[in-house]
Amino acid sequence: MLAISLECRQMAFDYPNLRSRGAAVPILGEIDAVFPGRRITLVSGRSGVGKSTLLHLLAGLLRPTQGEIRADGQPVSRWLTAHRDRWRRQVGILFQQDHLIGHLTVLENVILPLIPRNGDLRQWRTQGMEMLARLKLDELAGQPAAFLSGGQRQRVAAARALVGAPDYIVADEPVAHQDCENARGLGGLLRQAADRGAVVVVAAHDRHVDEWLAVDGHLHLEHGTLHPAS
Amino acid sequence: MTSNGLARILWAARELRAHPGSTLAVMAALVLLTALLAGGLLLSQALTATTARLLDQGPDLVVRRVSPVGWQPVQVQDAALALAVPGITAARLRIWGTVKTPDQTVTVVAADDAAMRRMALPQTLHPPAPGETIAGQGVILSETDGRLALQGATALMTRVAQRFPSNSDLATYDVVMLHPRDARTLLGLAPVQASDLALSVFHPEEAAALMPDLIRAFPWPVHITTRLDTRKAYAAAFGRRGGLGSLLYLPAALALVLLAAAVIRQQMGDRARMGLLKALGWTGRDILALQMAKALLVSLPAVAAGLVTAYGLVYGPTQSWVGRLLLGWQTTPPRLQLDAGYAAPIFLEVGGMLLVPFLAAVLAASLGLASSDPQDLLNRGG
Repeated sequence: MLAISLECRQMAFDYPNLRSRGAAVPILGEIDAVFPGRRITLVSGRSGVGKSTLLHLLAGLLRPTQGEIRADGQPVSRWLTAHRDRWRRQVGILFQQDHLIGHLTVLENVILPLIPRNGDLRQWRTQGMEMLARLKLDELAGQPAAFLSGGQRQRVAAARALVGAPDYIVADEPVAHQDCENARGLGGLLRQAADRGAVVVVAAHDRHVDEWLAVDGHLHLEHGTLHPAS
Repeated sequence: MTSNGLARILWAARELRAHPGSTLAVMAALVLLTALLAGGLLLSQALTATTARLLDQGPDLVVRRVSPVGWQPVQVQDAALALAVPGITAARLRIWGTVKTPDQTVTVVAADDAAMRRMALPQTLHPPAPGETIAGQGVILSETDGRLALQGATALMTRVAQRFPSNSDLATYDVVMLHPRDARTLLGLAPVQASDLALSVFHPEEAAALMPDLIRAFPWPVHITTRLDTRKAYAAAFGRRGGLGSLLYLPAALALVLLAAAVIRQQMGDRARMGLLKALGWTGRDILALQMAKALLVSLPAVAAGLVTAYGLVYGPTQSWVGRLLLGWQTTPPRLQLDAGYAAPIFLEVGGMLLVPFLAAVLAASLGLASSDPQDLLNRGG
């Protein structure tokens, strides 16, 4: 079976409000890159260089201002909102800021991506608890997310991104608040996802990323363009 | 409903439970608005319906003798004059009028055995003996010994032997029923005199056409009232009161606008969360369904509770303050009868009047959220 992929073709992006203020250089410009399935691709670069924006574009949260993004050969960035919304169900995103909903419990936060899909509460609960157990968070399932530490919040956000077994996973600085053991645990989950065929794109500026994640490809983002890392 | 549909509704309820303060505030506002609007309409409709039913049981025509100084009594033998007019099938002398008690003005009606039967009063009531009265629920008895002082053309001290049951018709509300001899004395009528003539006609719908013949039949000026005239007079009276009551609709409409604005504002404040949901795979349709489910979970029970409250206020034992507010009743108001044919359209009308704008406001706000890009919502939501 051919592996799926995410692909940027002549893709550029700039924020309209920055353009109106006369910014000369777009955030991202003329990016051609393929993120294949079954592989973990690391995107590195300095802070503020546009790694998060690139991931948001890949996850379908933003549209490129030029060029396109193809998922499994389909130009998803050009699709109408309704179609893109539906495609996004195949994406698991781990934000740099966890974006947990504080008044919901840990388990409720984790099952959020499952609710619009088929299934019932019992099924969602089972899936959510399994994922929390893999990240050693099952004992916190009933606690409000607002009461968690930074590291716990990040792992809950990771559980939420992975619970639906998505085909495309984009993770933005996923272990910024983790100790080595937890970072390796999360790295292991990302590897499992890649092994089952998912496209995994991880953005990090962590020089020690190889301590917790075995990456298959490494791209460096600089001056708005992606280059193979040396 | 599928298990997934039920699970989604449970999730909407869970989201509402996360903000109990604002949820309860919106529900309370909707309950209050619904009760106010439906209460006013139900009361007005109940009065109109009850009056119409009473008038249907009354005479087709009423003839009163008039003079330049006012009403004059009719004589017993005048009934024969009316019966001489073709089309008139029955003529009945009535003895009634308004008199004062120490606390209020009441309607005195003379009643004997035949009158009691004709008025279809409860069988537990017996015709009043001389010196006795049957008092309506709205008649205030200030004397502790059950005596009632009446002041008409003459003064009369009576003993309240019976009261009309609380479920009696509206017509008995401020009525004091007397023995005919007492009623004549009180109203200043001679033994051969009565207050007016109640006539029945062969074709009730043509009653008005008999009026010229009736005017010619009596040797003195008369004032003739048809059932339709009476109904119009009551409708006008209720309309005037109802008009004052309808002033409530202006603040109610304003309150609804403010409520809808508050709900929209709350939803717009939720943009970041909606953006997150979209980022996690919720489609625009899912967002729309969630928001509408939340709106329905809030508004349907609230409007239903408001309608039940309105029903209780108008037809239940706590009805007095609605009558005081809208109609100025000072005493325990009459028991109104529920007519499903009148109440159901009001329930639907008020329910629709509140639910449609409320749901439309939620839908309009949700449509904007549903069609936006997730990153845009996340950024604008802060």
